[in-house]
Amino acid sequence: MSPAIELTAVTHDFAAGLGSHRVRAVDGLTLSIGRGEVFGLLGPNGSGKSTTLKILLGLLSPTAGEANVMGFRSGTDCARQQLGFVPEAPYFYRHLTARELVRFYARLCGVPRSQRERRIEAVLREVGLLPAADRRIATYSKGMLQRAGLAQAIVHDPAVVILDEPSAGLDAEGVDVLAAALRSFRQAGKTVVITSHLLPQIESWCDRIGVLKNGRLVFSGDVSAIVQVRTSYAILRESLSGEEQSEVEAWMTTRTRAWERVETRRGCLPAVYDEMLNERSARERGER
Amino acid sequence: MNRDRWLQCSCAKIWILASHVWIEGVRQRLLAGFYLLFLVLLVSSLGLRQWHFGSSELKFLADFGFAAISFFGSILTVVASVHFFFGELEHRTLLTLLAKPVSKSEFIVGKWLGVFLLMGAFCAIASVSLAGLTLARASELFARGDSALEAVASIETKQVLLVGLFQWLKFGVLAALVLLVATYARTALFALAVSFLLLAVCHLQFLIRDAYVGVEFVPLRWVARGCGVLLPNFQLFAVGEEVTGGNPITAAMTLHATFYGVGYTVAILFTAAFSFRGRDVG
Repeated sequence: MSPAIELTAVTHDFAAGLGSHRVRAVDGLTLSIGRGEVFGLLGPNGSGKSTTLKILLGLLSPTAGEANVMGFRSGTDCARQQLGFVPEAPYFYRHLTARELVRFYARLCGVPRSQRERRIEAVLREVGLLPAADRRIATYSKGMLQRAGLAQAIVHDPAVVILDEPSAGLDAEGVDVLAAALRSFRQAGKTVVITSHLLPQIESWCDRIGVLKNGRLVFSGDVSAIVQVRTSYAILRESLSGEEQSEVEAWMTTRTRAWERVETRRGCLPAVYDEMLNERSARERGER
Repeated sequence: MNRDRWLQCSCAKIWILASHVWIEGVRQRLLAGFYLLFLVLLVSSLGLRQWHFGSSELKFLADFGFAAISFFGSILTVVASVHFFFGELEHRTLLTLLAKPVSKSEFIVGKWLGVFLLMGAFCAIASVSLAGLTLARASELFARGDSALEAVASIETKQVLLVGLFQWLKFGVLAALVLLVATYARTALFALAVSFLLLAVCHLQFLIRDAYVGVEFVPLRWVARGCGVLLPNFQLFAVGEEVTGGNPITAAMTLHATFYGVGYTVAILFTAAFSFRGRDVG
């Protein structure tokens, strides 16, 4: 069985201005992503992530090399039929409702008429957009637009879903919806490719990552294996006086010489933010 | 996929894209807005009847209406084609669209068909409104026993509708021409400016051809001939004057204009699809 995505020595050059000067965005990239894998494509700005995605989507043709999706050459109708794409900062037709938008894409992807409405209902429910499905997209928040983006990407039940910076600009709730969608993709055995600059999210979502720099793949491997090597352990206490700290250090020294330090950790905003929201909703429930 | 199935799928996708353009044009009130402008001008022509420069009142009304269809229709065609093309490009919805099994050629033809349908609706309601106005005014004059009865007989409803059909064919060629420019242009403003320039040139194309076709300097003669072939002659579709001048549109004229319009549209769309294939849309 062929891998879900296979890039073989893919190179892409862009014309830079007038004349024959060209800029190499992707340089001999060879990469294989297995079926059912959640893969994170990382790298700094200008490293070639978006160009690689566009080659996979068939929006750009490689200057050299070959890109295949589910065994089909990228850019062909067969390859595109296997792909679902959620663009960065999605913007959709403001004059349509989410239901009409998803129907439009479902028709373009050839979802049979007999299954179409059922499928639209199912994906809108899956992304949590069903209550607002008949509202114009012009009235949607950024999070809702992202959900509409997810819905249009999966309406034809593709084998591969590509998400370009999916959590950029999303609030915590939006990120939760995205994480839930990724879990359901994983359960359904879909291959997912994500590009992001938010490494904690990539760590929790992806099985494997590839790091690009100047168009070249500089690293590729399992997330759990990479993280495991650098794992350390901590004993957490809410408060510690100076005297207690000295005692702990002395005790640690007698037990093991491998300990590093006792440090004071600041509270982090995400945790405090979650606490505040939870307290508020609990208070509102109590008032009712 | 066999050839027949591929063609069927491709036509279905073009139709889906075209109906999407139609919905957008209607919901964004482009069609209604331009029809309203046309209607205001048409109704205002009733108040300008004293400026008929000697021609009969109904001829004046018909002339005014035909000019309004051509004027507002041309503006709507250029604006709608540029808007629907660059809207997709600027809002990056084109990326999502072309990531689906839709080719760039299908996208171009779909957009063109959508604009063509929109213009068909505009021409239909505008020429029906004009026919209605001339009929109403003719019956008013007839009831008064006015001397304009001769003119009443010369402007038939069918002829007014045929003028609308000729204009629709012209707008089809114009929409294809605008899309060709848009596939090359980097900004909507450039596409708008060049499209309006081309509209003017296509209306005056016959002048270039007539002026230079007889000159002795051979290269110039070839350039003039080249212009005559490369640019469609929009005067061929300007049959309003014929109708108001008492020369009805014949079946042969209609057939000629149809073949001419369809031929140019297909050739220009083919070129536009080819030009768009090489463009980086990322």
